[in-house]
Amino acid sequence: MKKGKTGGLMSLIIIFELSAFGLLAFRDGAVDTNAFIAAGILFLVLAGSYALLTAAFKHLDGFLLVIVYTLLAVGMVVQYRINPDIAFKQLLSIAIGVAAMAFIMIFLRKLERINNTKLCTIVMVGSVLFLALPLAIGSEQGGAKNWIDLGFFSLQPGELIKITLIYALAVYLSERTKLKKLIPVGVFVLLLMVLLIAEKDLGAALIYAGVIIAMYYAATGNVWVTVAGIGAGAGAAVISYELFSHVRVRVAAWRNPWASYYDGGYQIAQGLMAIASGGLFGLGLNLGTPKVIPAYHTDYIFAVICEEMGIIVGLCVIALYVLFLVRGMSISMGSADRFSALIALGCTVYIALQAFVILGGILKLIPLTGVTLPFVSYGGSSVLTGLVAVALLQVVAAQNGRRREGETGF
Amino acid sequence: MKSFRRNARTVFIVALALFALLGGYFVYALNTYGMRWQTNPYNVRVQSQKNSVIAGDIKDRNGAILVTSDDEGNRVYADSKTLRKALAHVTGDNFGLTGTGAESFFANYLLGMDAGLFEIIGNTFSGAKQRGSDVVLTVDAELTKYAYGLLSDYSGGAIVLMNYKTGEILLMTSAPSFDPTTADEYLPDKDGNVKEDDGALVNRATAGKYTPGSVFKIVTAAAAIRYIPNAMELDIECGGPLAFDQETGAFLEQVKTTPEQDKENRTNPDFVPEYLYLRDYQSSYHDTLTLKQAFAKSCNVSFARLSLLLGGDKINSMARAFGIGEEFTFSDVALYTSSYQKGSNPYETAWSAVGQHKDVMTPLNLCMISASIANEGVMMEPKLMKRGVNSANYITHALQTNAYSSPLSSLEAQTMRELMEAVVENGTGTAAAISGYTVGGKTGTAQTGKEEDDAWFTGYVYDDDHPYAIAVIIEEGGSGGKVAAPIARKVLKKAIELG
Amino acid sequence: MSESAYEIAALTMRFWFTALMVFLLWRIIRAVLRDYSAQRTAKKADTGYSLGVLEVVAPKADGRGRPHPLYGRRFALKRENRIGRAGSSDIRIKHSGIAPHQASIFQKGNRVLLSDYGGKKGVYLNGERIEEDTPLVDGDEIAVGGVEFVLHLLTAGQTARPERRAIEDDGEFENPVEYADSDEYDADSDEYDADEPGDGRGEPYDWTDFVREGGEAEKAQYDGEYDEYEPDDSQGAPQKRHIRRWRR
Repeated sequence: MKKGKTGGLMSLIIIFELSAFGLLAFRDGAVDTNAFIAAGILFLVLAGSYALLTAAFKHLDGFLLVIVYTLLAVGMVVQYRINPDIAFKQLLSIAIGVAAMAFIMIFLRKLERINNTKLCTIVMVGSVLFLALPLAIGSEQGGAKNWIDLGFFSLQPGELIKITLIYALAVYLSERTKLKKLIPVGVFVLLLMVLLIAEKDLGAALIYAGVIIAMYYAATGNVWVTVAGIGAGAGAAVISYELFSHVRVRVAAWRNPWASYYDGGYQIAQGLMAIASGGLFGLGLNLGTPKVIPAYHTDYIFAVICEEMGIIVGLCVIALYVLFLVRGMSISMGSADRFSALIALGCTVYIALQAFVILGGILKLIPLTGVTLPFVSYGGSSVLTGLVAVALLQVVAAQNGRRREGETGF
Repeated sequence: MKSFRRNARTVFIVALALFALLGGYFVYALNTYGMRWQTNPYNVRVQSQKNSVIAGDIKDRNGAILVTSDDEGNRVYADSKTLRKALAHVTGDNFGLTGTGAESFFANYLLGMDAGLFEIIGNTFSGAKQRGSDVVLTVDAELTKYAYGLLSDYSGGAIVLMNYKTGEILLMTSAPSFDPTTADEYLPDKDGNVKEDDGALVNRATAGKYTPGSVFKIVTAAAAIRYIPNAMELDIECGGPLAFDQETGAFLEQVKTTPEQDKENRTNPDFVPEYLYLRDYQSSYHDTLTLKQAFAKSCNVSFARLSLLLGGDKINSMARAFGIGEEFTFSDVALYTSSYQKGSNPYETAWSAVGQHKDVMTPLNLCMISASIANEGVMMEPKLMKRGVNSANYITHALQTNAYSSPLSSLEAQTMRELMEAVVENGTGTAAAISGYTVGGKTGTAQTGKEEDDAWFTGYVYDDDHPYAIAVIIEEGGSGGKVAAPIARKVLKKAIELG
Repeated sequence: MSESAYEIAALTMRFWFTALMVFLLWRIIRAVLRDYSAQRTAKKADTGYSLGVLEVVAPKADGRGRPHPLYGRRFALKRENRIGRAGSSDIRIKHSGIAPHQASIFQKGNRVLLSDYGGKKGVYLNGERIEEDTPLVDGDEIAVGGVEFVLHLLTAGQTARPERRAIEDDGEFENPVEYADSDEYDADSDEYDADEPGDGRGEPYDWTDFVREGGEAEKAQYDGEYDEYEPDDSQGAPQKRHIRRWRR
């Protein structure tokens, strides 16, 4: 991958973020120096990491990086517009995430090294404990008890564990496909789901389920079990509908948010009105009224993007996730061994599915679930997990590149 | 590894399909509902826009100003109270109470949300407050005022008149109505109490769900023409009420009752009916009729027999073709859904075929049906906005006529016209005849369980220069032919007069 | 900046942002597509990598006692090589005994396997008919439909070009030349005339010459030139190793 190809794209991203922050700097009359500082730090983090990574790693998938960085930039701009303090926090998360990504890419050159059952077992146990933590010491937020507040920052184990889930599934599914041999990871998965439901984080549970089904099917091709799995998932959804009142509220709000405006439909209605008001080109940065929408800088940030930057930009964001899906899949299918391929597939499906779920909920295609829009929404754990997934994809991409190079001599 | 790739490809395709669905739905939903969402009264942006923009005028098709803004941005209505009330549902109110009038539906234009960039820049530099576009409606104010006046003798009702070639609504009025200038009296006061409004805020033309009664025979007749070969040559036996089994609802062919007997049974308070009966209005029965005669005379029994021949499913598909049961998403009006239920046994089907049972229709839908019959079987989308003109006198939106559907073939429509013109010529609707013009129609007297029946009339004037279709309903008005038809005649004449 | 001035700026810039995003997206899509198609053509050509060579050792003579046109031909092997009469085969052999889709030699993991596509006559490895995909080693004798080959496998990691001989043909390119079947002659072929005296090598004619010379049949991707190999009698050991320059 020549740097020249994606370098130009990178500069477009930089132009975008600089011009956007530049505009925002003048919104209150007096010049907002913090805007320039934020823009500068973002520039350093994104452009700097891009330069370093492309120089250090010959087989980096530059496109993947560009796609993710575009999303990060768009997210940062909108977040700064909403709340500068939040934006700086996000910037910190991005920096940490990018550093983690570099770290993983440097020290994990051969994925096979972590492909062993013993390590996997340790990871699985640790994950279950970590995920159980919020139940013990966590704080409730928005009806779900899935956070741990550590003072300066808060963690959402449900997000981070997605990576270990993908890892564990890949370890087991790469070697064996018969259900009997998959029992350890099956138990692991079951425990995770139970914990998530106990924490009322049904959105995360949905993503987990999707990743599991996708990885299982890719590894085994067993249509019957997959269909059974989907059926079980659907059944669980129906049961949760009967059991949980707030699920019923969500479904009613999905069918007609205007009718249940004061009873759950408010968020969806406001989101739709915001998007519609934006029109094709948006109302203009800082000229909209996003704060009437609940969760406007986390789950619902897409509505703000559409309101202020327009529906065309919104469609571009959707297209970026599709491109992520395409790139991730080609990385996965370009692998030589099952383990790497499964890891890549899991990471890709996770990001794509999560994006689909929240976008579908905002657009009233499916009932709304509380998940974040990867890379765009505010949320340290979300950004970190996303970037770790990207890191793993890059590791697999590098493996592929090296292999191809070794074979052809180039 | 190869099998992995195969499976992964499947996963990829599924994911891609999901995103395609997402993108497609995004574009579709915003295209269809976008305007509605944007101008929804709950949308705070509209409210804030109202504060910063002077709303444009609402005018009728001839340019008469119906609603305008004064210098402070308050809404000022027409001088004549009758006119205000007549057009109240069309113009809407400024407090978000009706939510379906021009103030809401066309808020996009009125509040200048379609303003060009240069206009905004220009206004900023000149310091002038931005002015929204003027909206020119398709309605004729004088005609509407006249029609509203005719309704004043009754407890409630609605009149709709459309141009059947373009779909423009020339008149839409509903009574009881309210005065937009004092509409704030209906807002909840500080204790949260709301004043009783007798349904004055409801636009009965679009949201009024009424039992259609005999006007529904249009649908049944159309179904007969389409599905029964040589329907026009059929001999349909009337002669007395039809009897149905009390438990199963099955038709009992052999049970015959003479008209005199039936009259006696009806008026005798001690009569215990052995069967379920399908009767004609006030026991006036006929001999053998053709379809045309049955339609003209509005014979229930004949149409009940047709329903037995057709079956509820065919009537249902004809109804659906006419838009009954459709959830409309028109850009200019919020038309509620009419509905037809075919009934679970022949007895219920028979009554449903003559517009009773659980049939429900809105006046506008009915008007659209008559319009489609007059328009060679093509149903046009109802339009309320003729033009949008911004403060620089630029036309920002022009009327685009749109064919909504084609419920009938041109030949079928022609046959229907024959039937409907027979009604006005020598049937129940002679009171609607206008000399020098071809008028077709159908009367209806809907039994609603109240003391007086609802009076219906729907029809058209078949004329290229005055292509009008009309629907009139008078709540508790009595006989359609005696009450609704004359009103329709007056309105049509006035419309022709006004051009 | 005053409020309304900001408003104007923001209103104007929304077109800028939209345009920028769309442009960026379009550029990404275009670059991804180009990268993708470059990869595909690289995979298709896939000729920097060679498993080895398949050499024809029989039939030695045609029906009239002259050396058979197929004899001695060497086909370079890619990752997957379909053998058959059909024009789409990687190794196209127009011999009456061979089915349109007869067999395949392909790489799986670090093994090279022989597969029977299911023709009536079967595929024979070292004299025995194979039932399923069978691993191959250097020197294996493969027989299909009356034609016998010897397999010369290169050791892993070598990127050598197969040894070039006088009658060598780079099998991986679409062989533009039709082979006359040993029993029937291609009447349409101008170049083949059974009655014409052959040249010293016993070939009826020598159209393989132009394949050997300069290698014009090569695809446009080749940028550089390649060295001429000296004919070598010993099999399997290439004289020169050559690395081509690829055009990206």
